[in-house]
Amino acid sequence: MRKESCSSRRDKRPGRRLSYMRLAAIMLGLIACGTARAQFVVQTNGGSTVSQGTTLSIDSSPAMPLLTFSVSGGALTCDSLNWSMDISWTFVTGNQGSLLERSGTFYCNQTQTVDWNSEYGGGSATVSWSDDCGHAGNISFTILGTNPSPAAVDSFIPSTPWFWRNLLAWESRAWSTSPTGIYHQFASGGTPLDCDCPNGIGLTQLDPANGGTYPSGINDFWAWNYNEVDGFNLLANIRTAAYNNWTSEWNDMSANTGGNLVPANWPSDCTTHANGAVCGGFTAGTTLFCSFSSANANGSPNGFGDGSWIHRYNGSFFVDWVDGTPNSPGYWEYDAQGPTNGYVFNVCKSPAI
Amino acid sequence: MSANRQRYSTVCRLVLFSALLWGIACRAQSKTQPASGRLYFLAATTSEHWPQAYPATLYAVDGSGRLQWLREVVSSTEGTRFIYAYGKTIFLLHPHSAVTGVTIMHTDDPMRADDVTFAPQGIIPSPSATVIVEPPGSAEALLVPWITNVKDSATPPEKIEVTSALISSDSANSAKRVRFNAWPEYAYLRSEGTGGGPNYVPGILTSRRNDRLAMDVFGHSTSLASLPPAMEQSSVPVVPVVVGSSDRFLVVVRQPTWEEINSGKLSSSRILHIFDRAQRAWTATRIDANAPSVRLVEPWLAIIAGIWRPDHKPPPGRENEREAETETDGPHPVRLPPVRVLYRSYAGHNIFFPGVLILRDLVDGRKIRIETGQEDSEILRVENDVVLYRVNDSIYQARIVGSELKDTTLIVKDEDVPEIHWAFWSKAASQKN
Repeated sequence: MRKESCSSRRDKRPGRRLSYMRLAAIMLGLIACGTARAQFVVQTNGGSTVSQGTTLSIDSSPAMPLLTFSVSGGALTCDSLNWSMDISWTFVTGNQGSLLERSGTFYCNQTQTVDWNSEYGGGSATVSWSDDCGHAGNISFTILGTNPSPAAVDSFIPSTPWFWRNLLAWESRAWSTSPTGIYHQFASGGTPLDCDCPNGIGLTQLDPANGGTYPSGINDFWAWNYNEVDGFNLLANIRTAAYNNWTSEWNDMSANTGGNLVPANWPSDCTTHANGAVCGGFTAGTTLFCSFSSANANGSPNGFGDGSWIHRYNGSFFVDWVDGTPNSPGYWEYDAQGPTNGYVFNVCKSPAI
Repeated sequence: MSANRQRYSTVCRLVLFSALLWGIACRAQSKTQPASGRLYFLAATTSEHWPQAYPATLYAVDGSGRLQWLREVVSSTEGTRFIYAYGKTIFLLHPHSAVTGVTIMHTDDPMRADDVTFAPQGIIPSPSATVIVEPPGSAEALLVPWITNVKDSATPPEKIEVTSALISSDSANSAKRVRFNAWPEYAYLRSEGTGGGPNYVPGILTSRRNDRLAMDVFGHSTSLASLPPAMEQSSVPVVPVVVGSSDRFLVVVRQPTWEEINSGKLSSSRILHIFDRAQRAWTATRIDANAPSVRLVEPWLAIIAGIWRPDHKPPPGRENEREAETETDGPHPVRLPPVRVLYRSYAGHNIFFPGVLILRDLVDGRKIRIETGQEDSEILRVENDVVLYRVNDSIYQARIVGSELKDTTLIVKDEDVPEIHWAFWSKAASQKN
């Protein structure tokens, strides 16, 4: 039997076959990665390019900006590319307000559009990317909000209860924040209206629940429609407690005065100081869109149940009977409870838009 | 004299002198000790008008000057509407929104739970006519009247209908624990008066009837005493308010009218009318504060000076009061109220508390003034010349010597101290630590 030559045997060795394959892979890789570096491209609505420091907008409908990722040079520069995006916003106190994260992978010869999945987020955005050729980078830009039109806000939720739009006008600083005459989800700089950080966000000045969460999470910050619905639901849930409170206060007055009933009327009691009435945050001579009387039952627009319903949105109740003490007779006290005085007065002086 | 006899004489003198000193020390010590027993505190914030409810908690003091939690008297779910204390009993009406029952704290057995439901439907008790009474030969009881037919402000009834419950603190006979419509028992009205804290405390409103001081409750009239002389012929409408009533003393003030208050010419001082039942005579004493909170801890009046100030001038020490609602740490978390917000909304809304506490001995006339300089301060207890007083989150004990306080000592400082408005010593046999 003829012995095989070393060279022949060498040719048949697995290592030699693998080295050919490795060389082929390297050749292909060189062909794929090439000498050109991948250029990560971000485009938005209308094909505009997003570059470092660009500012994009959540429009007023609301809709997040379209973001499409691609690679210039396509398959010649890389085979695949991974990306991750953080969009964050912080309160003025430095605490984090909202955070939206996305990530994905796509082939370099294709494009990928960010799926927002019905989430809305704004603030400082940073997209970090890396491809399979060892290249990486990031791009930072800004996403800001756009306030809705008053017509859009008013048509989104019915105008009941009767004071809803007055309350919305006050909470959203419609008449005190520029530009006036619109409900503000966002401050003039395009970030969520944050009037009492961290309490009070956006159109309805939502507060976080226990645990620091908002009903619709990040959407309550950046989508006015979610914020309005959640604020409206919050208001609806507190009506019963408000009506019960008025009934309780009326009964308390009756019991304290031995049945010598003292009527309650607002704002007239505040103007005349009838029966020693005390009024928090009240300025005489202001045009008001509300009035309440004890002659009207719960459920009436002019009943004190609705007055307390308004006040309860900001915490505590509108009217209480202060029992007679050694230092004063009993009296009706309006709008003086809770952290701030005059909440009902402020709502009732705010014209609906 | 021999040397030995001299030494013997000297030793005898020393022994006698030491015995004399020891006797003086013992006597002094016995005067500084209050009623013997353990010191207890009841912490509670009533919430008649506040939407949030807070617990009532019993504490003692541990060895490090901190509060030792003993038990929850009323839960934070229910809260308390009003609290009344006199003698050996503290009554806590709950829930805070609509009352169904009363929890009774027996100070001679503070760990004993005692709850009586008397209005399961939930009622609004009359704040100015709910009082403690102590009929002869009976234990203290709470008399609670309420209106049964006022529901809606828009449709007041033609005739007010009322009822009342008398809840005895004597739990020995459960069948007689609650009696209804016991109106004549108002004759035995007892009241410790008003403690400190941020809430309004309703006054016990009385009236002039047939030249007598009377308790008129929804048409049920009960004579209490003769009228103070100054109120007999007064041309100004008179609403007498009982601020303290004990076995010996009845203390009454005249409630100012709105005309007087709104005139801005309210006197800077206030007259307390004191009826001494033993002497059967009225006297009057002037307090240098026109809106005081008065507590009767016989024979002392313990007063928190207050001044009517509707301009809401910021009082001293409000910045030291708890601003936001919080909860204590540890195995028994306790919900704590926003004291500063409550003062601003209620007791401190129209009244300026400069941080001055006054003690007046109704027997010998002694006056003692304690300047705390803090709005949230009060006298908790006076017993056997020992006084306990609270300043924000600290409680001090001092000895009354003549017209002075001596040996003032901090005895407890803790997070839930601002809610303490009742203190007592007890020799209770059953103590669960």
